[in-house]
Amino acid sequence: MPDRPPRLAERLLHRLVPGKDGDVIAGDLAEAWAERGGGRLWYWLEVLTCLRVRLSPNRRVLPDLGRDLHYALRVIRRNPGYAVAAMLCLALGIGVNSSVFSFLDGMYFRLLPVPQADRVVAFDRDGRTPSFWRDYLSIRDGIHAFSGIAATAGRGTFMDVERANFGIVTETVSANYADVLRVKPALGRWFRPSDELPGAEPVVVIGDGIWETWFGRDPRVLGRNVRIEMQWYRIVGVAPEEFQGVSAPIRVDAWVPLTTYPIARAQLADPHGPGPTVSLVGRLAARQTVERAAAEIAVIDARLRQAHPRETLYATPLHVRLFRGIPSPAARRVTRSIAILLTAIAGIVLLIACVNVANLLLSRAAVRRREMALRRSLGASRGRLLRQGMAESVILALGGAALGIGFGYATDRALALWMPPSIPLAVLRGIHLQMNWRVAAITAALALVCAVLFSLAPALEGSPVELVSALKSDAPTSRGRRLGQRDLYVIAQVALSLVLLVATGLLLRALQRIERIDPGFATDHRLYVRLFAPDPDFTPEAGTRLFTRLLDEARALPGVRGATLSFDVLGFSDSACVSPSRGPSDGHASINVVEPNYFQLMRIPIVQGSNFSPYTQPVLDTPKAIAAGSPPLDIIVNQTLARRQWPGRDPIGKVLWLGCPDGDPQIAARVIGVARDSKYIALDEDPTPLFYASRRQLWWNGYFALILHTAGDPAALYAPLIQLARTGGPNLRTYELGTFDDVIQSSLWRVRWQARLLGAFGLLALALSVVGLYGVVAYSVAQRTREIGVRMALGAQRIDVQWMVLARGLRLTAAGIAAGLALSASATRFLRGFLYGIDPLDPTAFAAAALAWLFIAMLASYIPARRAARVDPAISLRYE
Amino acid sequence: MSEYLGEFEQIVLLAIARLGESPYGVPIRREIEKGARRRVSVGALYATLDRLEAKGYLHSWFSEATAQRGGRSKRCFRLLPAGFEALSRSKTMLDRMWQGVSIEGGSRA
Repeated sequence: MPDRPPRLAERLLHRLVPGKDGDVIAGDLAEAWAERGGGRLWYWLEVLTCLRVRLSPNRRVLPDLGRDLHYALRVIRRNPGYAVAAMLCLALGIGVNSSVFSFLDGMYFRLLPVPQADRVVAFDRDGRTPSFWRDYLSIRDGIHAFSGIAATAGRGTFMDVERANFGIVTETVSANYADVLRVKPALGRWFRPSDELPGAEPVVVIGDGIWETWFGRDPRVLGRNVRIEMQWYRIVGVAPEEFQGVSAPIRVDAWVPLTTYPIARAQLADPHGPGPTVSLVGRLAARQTVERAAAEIAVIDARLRQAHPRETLYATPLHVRLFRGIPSPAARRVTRSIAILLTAIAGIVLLIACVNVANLLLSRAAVRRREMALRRSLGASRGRLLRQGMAESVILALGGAALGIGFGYATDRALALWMPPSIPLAVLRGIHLQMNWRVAAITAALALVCAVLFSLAPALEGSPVELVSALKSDAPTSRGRRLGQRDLYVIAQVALSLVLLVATGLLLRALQRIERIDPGFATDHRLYVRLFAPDPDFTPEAGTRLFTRLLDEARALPGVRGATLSFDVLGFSDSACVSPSRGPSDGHASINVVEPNYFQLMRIPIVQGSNFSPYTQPVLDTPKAIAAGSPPLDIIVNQTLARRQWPGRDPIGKVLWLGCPDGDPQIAARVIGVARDSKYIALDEDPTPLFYASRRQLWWNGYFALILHTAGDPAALYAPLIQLARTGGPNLRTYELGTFDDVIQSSLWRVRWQARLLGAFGLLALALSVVGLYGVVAYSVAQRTREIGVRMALGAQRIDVQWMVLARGLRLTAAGIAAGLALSASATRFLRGFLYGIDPLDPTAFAAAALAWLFIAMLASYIPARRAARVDPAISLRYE
Repeated sequence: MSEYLGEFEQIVLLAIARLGESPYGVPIRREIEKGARRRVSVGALYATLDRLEAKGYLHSWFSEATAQRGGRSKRCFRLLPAGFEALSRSKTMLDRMWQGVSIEGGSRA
């Protein structure tokens, strides 16, 4: 043979055509080379033509894959225990993730459950309501890009069914609503154009929830009457179960024609007014695109702006976008932080699960070292064995994913149950958690990524050189390095789960702190109903007379110790401009308008000066009248406002000017007292400046909460209170009804929900990591049985052996805790928004998490340590 | 199967048929170069062999290594009945098409 064919080309050939086929071709080429006596260029060209063989669709990849899968299944069937363990670990991780994805899906991607939902677009002015009813009517028929545009306005209110009264969300809509969305009724019908004509009989379409809860899915519900906003509505239809309106994330309970809704009717009564504000949804006409619709809308929006130059609403441009998930960017912003938190946690849990499975596979790989070495020495290539391992991993991962979707269904239910039920807090309620193909696809993709990740672990480790020693004996030859890799995994698991524990601890601390916050007023045995006597229906005089009567009658109810009126309740407040002198105002303060006995009934002490006079004074109906020379308004300021306006001086008798310069004329107010600070919007708020005015002197918008102090259970007074409110006539609106304890509780829902969620995930991560730690320690005991036997034969005490094993577990845990603490220190910063003032590096939370892990690690290593101590040297050395 | 063989496929199948005794890559290539007077790259040959095997016209197996190949094994081929059938189908088709056709000047080859 002259000289050898070029090595590099041979190498390339084996790359192009792997395995035995490459060998065959190389052999052919070698013969030809010998025959023609060399020719490097020729050889190279020939090798390059083998690209065709590589790219040929007839390469027998699939039969091999089938064999791989078949073999993998056989291996798994023979060792079901380890396969089940791995699948369960994965299922937990994947399940949590699939639920989080279904949450994100509902937020960002899901289309409305209507036919051709990809043709439905939402209108938006950066979170503000896009239009007025008047302008909606003027534009809706003139836009070519749409086959129809519907108007809707979501409103929280109450519904009466028989004698029950409960909170609902309604969408007040244009009559073409269902036609535009193409949503079919589950029962009865949707609205007809005649339903929104003036004088039409009020009709309502109820949602599945109300049908289920209040009518037991009775088909005879059609024709029954319910009362909304003190007006009777006849039920003409039931919406399909999956349809929850277009106000996501809020779930809509009932739909009524906008023109029949009392508040809207009052606004529509003014022929020159713009009418109520409405949201818009449209359906694209055939062969139209969102872009074309956007262009047309821009023109119309410009025309609106021109026609109503003083209308501030139209200053923000109008956008259209496909209706997906939560359409409003403003609502998305609210849920984004929770979404990010959830995704991060779920990612960590999955990572831990993957590491766990990698660890499991590693110990399997150690057990199968001989098998692998044997196969290699019989000619299997490394790639072949890698592929084999990959096939096993893929099967495990797919099994895990299938189980995970089941788990995900369960976690979906759990997440949905944990979502807060009450109306003002319904941010998350409407995010309908459900599995769909997108979620399933992402779950499957995740599973595959996991499979690749953890099948790499044993592959990275399987070193090619130790065949002989691996074949020769059971003894681990390179224990140091291999256990090193597994040790790293355990350390990573401990660190990651510690991060979750620390985060949970921080949230619990935040919850604890918030629960301990004194709201500044008494909450027990107190309930309220919020009422509204709106402007066109009630003059200030009539409104004041009505509230005085309600107050007197409330005091006379059995079981009532006292009653009062207040504009604010926790979470609901208003503000006004205040300044120390007439002229440009230098700041805002919150305002509350109260009955004089408010301070006494709510146990808010007047720390200086005096309370409002309980004697009736003439009602000062408008700020204008006050400005015209009425006696000055008396106000009571809170400590924060007093400190801000008159630091270090006595505020009593000082004058404060109320009213914004560009609004009504400013009025002078004289400070007669200082009340202790309390909480006004949320428990975690900073001290807020606020002043009180007496309702005997000032009428403020017509809102009042009627507050009762009861002798017994406040819930017992719900019904009498509603009854009382109804005596106010059909124009008096009734809003929330609740106890103050409930208000406090629900203002905590967010942090409580987060703590609970994180806690659940943290426990899951902890459980997974403990299994991992236990596995590693137990495995090392199994590996070292002989060594332990020798030690004991040489005189080591049981306690020494026990300690040796325990120390190993603790060393790993300590390293993991150190890494986890460092990781947490940098990660918890992102939680700051959830912590209500707790330092993200709060030492209590960090120390508690570290100690908890240490304790658990002791338990996890104790079992294998005991087993090690029971090793009988005589038995373990017999095989030597 | 109503499908007809491509020209190169026919050449390869015919080469194997001519060689008879389960030939491997080198003799097949030599046969083609000799009989069909065209150069064949090893890549084109094996890609076609793979394809014919996938179609069920050929059967292949690995046989023992010989020293002159640097200890590498061979892949031997045998024509299956379906291969013969495909060849004869192609030939019949060509014969049919040639009926009544004569080319001026005749064949020079």
